[in-house]
Amino acid sequence: MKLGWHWILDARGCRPERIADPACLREVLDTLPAHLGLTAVAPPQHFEHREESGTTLAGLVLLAESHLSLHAHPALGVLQVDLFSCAHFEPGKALAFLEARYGFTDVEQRLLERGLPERRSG
Amino acid sequence: MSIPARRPAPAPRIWDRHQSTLRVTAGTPEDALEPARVCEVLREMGHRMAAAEGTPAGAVQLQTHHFQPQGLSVVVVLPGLRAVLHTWPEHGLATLDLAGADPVGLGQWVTELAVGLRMEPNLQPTG
Repeated sequence: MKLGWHWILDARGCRPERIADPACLREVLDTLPAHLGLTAVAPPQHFEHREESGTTLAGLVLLAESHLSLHAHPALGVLQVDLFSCAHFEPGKALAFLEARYGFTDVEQRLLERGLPERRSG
Repeated sequence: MSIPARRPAPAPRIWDRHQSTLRVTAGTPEDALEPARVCEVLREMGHRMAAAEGTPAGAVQLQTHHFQPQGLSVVVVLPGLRAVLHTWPEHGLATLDLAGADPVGLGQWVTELAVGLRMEPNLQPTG
């Protein structure tokens, strides 16, 4: 049973002033879903995790189609993005949207098919 | 004369992420994935994990969205971890997405949640 597609992005070399800016993360959570034709069903959640090695800024928004989450690591200049949707979306459009805001220099992407293979009977 | 030894600060690292799909293995999907039950299992797990880390129970946040006619999305946020569960009772399936600073803790979440929900996990680590 196929449940949807999951786009995973690890972006490196993000602009320091953007990757450390909670407002930038909030703006992405507020506007990226609609930009991709997806629908937020609850207000985005934002949180900050501080530990000795650095701070992680994170946020998540539930969608009618599943969810979008971001984790920003200012000390590393890395942005991690997960977009899981049971509806069609264009990863390239999401990538361009994020690149315009974070200005990263290097990306690694994967697109997973979510779900399980059908069980055969007999 | 000596200078005090200083423990070097740990190197920053990105969070680990995991995706799993869970299948109902006991009872009916409607019972196993009944929204109140799912929320209770997640809330209890969140509080237990938080207590193990010495984190106040108040630091555990849950956000839910109920779909019509069925299906539920739940977000659980603890310091250093976030979990998202989506249920598809019509297929007897749920998906679990985890991200956190402690990869061992993520594996523990999958195992304990699967037991709590009486589901069989299929884990796909994505680094």
